[in-house]
Amino acid sequence: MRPFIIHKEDMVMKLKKVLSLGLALAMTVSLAACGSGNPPPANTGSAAGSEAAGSAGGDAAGEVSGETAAAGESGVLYSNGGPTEFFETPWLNPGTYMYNKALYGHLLFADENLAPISGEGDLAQSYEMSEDGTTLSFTLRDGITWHDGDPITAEEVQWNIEYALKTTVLNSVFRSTFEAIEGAASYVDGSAEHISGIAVDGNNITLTFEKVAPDALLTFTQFALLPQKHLKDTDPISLQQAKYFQSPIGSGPFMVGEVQMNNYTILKPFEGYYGGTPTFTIHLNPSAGDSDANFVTNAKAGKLDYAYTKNIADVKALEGTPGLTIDTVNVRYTRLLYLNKFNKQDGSAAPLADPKVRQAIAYALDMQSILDGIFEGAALPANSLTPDGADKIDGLNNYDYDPEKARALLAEANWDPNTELDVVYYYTDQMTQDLMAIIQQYLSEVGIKMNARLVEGDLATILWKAPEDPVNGPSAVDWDMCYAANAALSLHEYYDRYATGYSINSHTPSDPKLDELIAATNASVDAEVQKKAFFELQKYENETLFELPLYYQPIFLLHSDKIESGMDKIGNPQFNYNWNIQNWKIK
Amino acid sequence: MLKRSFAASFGFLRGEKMAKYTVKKILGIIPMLLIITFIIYWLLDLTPGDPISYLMDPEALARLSESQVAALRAQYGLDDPFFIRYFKWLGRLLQGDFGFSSASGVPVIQIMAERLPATLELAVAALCISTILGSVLGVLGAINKGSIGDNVLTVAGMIGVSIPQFFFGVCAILIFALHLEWLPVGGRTDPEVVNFVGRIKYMIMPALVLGISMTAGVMRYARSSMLDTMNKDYIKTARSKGLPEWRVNLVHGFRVSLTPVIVLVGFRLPTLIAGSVVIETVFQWPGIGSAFNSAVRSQNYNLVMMLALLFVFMTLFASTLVDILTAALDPRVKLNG
Amino acid sequence: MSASSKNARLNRKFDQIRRMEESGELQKKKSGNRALRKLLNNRLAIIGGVIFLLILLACIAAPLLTSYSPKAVDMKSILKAPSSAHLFGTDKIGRDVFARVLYGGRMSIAIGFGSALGCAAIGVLLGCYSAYRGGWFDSLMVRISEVFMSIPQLILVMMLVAILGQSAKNIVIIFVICGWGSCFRMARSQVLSIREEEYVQSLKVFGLNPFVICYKHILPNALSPIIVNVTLSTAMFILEEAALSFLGLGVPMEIPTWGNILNAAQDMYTLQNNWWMWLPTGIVVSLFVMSINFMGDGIRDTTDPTQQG
Repeated sequence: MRPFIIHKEDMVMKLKKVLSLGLALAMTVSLAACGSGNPPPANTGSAAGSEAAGSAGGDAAGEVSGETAAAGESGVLYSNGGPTEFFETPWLNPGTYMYNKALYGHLLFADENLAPISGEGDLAQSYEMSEDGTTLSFTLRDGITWHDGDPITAEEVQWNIEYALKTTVLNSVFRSTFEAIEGAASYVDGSAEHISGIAVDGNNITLTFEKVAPDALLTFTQFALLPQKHLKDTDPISLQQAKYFQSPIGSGPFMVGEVQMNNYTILKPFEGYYGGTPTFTIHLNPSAGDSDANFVTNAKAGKLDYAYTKNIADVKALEGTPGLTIDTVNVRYTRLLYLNKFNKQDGSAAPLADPKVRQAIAYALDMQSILDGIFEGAALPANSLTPDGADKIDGLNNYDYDPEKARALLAEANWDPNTELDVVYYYTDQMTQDLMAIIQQYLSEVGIKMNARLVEGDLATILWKAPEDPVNGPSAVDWDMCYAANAALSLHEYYDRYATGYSINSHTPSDPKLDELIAATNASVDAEVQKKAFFELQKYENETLFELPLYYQPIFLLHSDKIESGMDKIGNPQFNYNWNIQNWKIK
Repeated sequence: MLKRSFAASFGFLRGEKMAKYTVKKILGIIPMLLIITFIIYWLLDLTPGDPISYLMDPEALARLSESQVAALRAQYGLDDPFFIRYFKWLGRLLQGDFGFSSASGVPVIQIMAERLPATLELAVAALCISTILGSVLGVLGAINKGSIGDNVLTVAGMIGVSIPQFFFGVCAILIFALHLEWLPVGGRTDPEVVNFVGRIKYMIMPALVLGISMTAGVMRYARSSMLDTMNKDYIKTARSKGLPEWRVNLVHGFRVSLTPVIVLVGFRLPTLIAGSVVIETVFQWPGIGSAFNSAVRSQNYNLVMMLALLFVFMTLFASTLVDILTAALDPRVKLNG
Repeated sequence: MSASSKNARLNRKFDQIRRMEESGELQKKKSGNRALRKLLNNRLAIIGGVIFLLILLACIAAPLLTSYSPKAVDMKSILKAPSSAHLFGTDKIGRDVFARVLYGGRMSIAIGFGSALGCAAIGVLLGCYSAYRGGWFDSLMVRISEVFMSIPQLILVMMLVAILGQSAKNIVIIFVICGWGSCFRMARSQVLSIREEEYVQSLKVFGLNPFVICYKHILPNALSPIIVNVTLSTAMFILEEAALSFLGLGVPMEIPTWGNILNAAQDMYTLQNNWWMWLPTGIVVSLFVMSINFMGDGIRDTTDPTQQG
């Protein structure tokens, strides 16, 4: 019930597992639906589902859009995530909410795998990144305007970057990109009025980087531009409380029509959108965060045409509902146990300081059975923070269920069976509760006692307070394990936090080898170089288990057959990609 | 208590003394309000964490620099000690400044203006349903005391109060919204429909669930009150004069016995408004109950305080009103007490 | 017991008899019905008592009735429909629902009864003394109880849960903090009326310790409405615990209580497909609460002559 459980978000994997309303049972339904030509071709992969979609993305995209509803006839697309008290700023969670994706424009486009599209951008007509990654320049499109009709200027882009750095609601990927711009440090500490590395010339903006910004392009596919004139007088500390966020003005294909907080919100087509005017309106049901308690009831009642959920129970409840398709989208969302290896306050050694104990825990958990049980097999067991796919090295140890080996490792580590591990969690959902009970059961079978407790209140301190001495501790937090989610827009987000002295590294003592491996991943903008560095890091992670990855949780994207055509690409619905919503045809 | 006082004489005002009593009672509300708001403010202060820890993602918060956190704290006036903050809040309140919601920066008064009508609408509808249903059934039960119908009603009423309310609500959604598709699953309006008629279909289920679960209490009260009245001398007189049974029951009994029921019902309205959290959650009703729940959990001081003030005021007002009415109608109540 | 109290009781008895006669004369054709109704009412109370005892004993004797632990996870048998192995089936992580209902009942009943008893203990203790003593102490106590009763209950509960945190013990404490006021008022008004009776005056003249008069001689005569109140509020607190669980504010989810079991079955899929996870629990809770209500009513009817039929 915490109002602000914000899961930072994920990313589409290369594999797109397609699962029409899940599971074999729904096979017939999905085939019937395909027959009628309603869902886009990309969704009609085999129900067995594992690696079907690799090729299915682009083919047949054009065919369907021919026979559409008469233009000008205005349909209504129902979605969720409507505001309950305010529109959330688009800078912390750039795409969690439907409105943030529909209302705002970005400089660049990402494809459905969140890879920046080269050549033409979104609001940028073109862009260019120098080979060594030190300069990035954009040329804005001509004639682009905000929803109120005023033109979007290059100066406003500069203002956005500078203003964003002073707010408290900036995504960490954006922040590290902006902080890498030349002169950002002296701007932040107040000694300079502007960031010297941003140059504006007519329609052109050029960024000069002081150090390598590995996610620069990714940042600009997600960083929404906000109109300066509406916000320039707002204290950046309280950006979220600005009146602007009662009815924001952006530059995306939709604009705010009518807002009834906590009741419904209507987004209507923006006629000045450079990419064409949509022919439908969007009706948002209110729901907070990324969990919608009324997902199933609304979907069954035909009040949900496009929405996503992480809750497998929702998917199961909607199985076989006519007119609905649910795709499984694999994203960068890893559920894990943070393992505290710092000495305790009283100076005693952490029970999990010994890697053998950590490995024993990994062997003791039968993740495959657990996931089959509570996820119906929709989630995948994890062997690394990095989800399966091309970004991960092959041949990692999966720590398959082996209680004998776990007991042997514990014996080697001289495990004291009276030690009780203090496990904390902060999700209040039933599934977390169930999982804690399951983990407790499995650990007790190999002789490890644990006690799980829910933590509430000042989580920033309870979970993430880093010790004053990042080498020797003692720990500034009082748990042994913490069940949490690690979501990443960029792979760097997964690992950077383990570097020595990182502000939220509450649980991993300084490790020179680890520091070196992490630094290597941030040393280049070249994707191939980065990938190699990540491979090494993953190997080290897999051996030492400085955290314990549990499983990869997919996102389930629901769409109804009211969307007749246009939705050809399915990416991570929590981020911005070229989803082409302005050209969807709605019945 | 009530019953005894009301069954006594009507319209018997004791002039000046009564007026004094009324003024005294009404003034008595003020210190109560002060004490209670102080307690609530203090309780809010005691809850772990502070508004900032709920304003943003804990990981993002942990990444902020100390100066940023300090600036945020100053922004929300969290630097002052608790006493000072309470009196500042009180001072602003007296000047008519209700403050802003810490989550959205929206004036609290605006949130209340948006949410309160929804809750009132639901509460009033539920009250009407429970009052009409409860008093009619209760009186019928009393007239036909001991009949099969009376017993069935008693048992049914008991079942009604024994089922957990949320469970009742969810089952209703399952049956009427999802299986039969007669009613919408939740919400309050269709877009752009502002008139009452357009909203009725949204209101039926939550109002009925809330109303029915309240009916049993009213029914029981109406029944015993009616039985009481039927034994009164003037009813006996009416009967002995040979008036038809239905007239005796309807005109004399029903009317008189309903007065305490109505007072009871008026007394319930404030609790009903505060207590609608569960039903509002089940039916996605955009009311004040759900707003309060999230405001408490995120330590949204201004919002919590204003809502609490409202609830407490209504409760106090209702109980004072009952006291005064009781005194006005019942000569046995000591006015200087 | 003193002679005057016996006298008072006798008088009340006479009053009751006379009233019965009167109503009997008034409604000749329904005189049979009235007796029937009294009987039936008691019969409802008896039925209630039997159900109550059945459920209560089953919960107390849980280890004898089921060999499963309510917390034992079994991933090999999840969501099994009721069978001879699992009477009420199993839940999403293979725990035996029957065992959970029984053990959960223990906790729910303990919370409900404990809270009601706590409220009664504090309310009666303070209420009797306050009424007997009168003066500034009385008006102070009345004020304090008014403060507590003016804050809508659910709101106070929500705030206290946020402060104290969620645990079974805290829930009981919170229920007592929020609920003692009404018990206080009831006990106080009872004692106020008894205080003026002759036997109390005579005890005073004998110079008995006020505490002895208050708790030994007055309290027993005010006991029956208090007992009714304890039974009825037990039912109320059980329902309230369930409602709090629904809002995510109740007993921590890992502790089985009826509220938590019902809450775990909230999603539409479970509601539609795994009836055994919620229906038996829902029926048991409702039955139990209902049986308490019938009992409470029955006790009230037999002890309080002003409440008719």
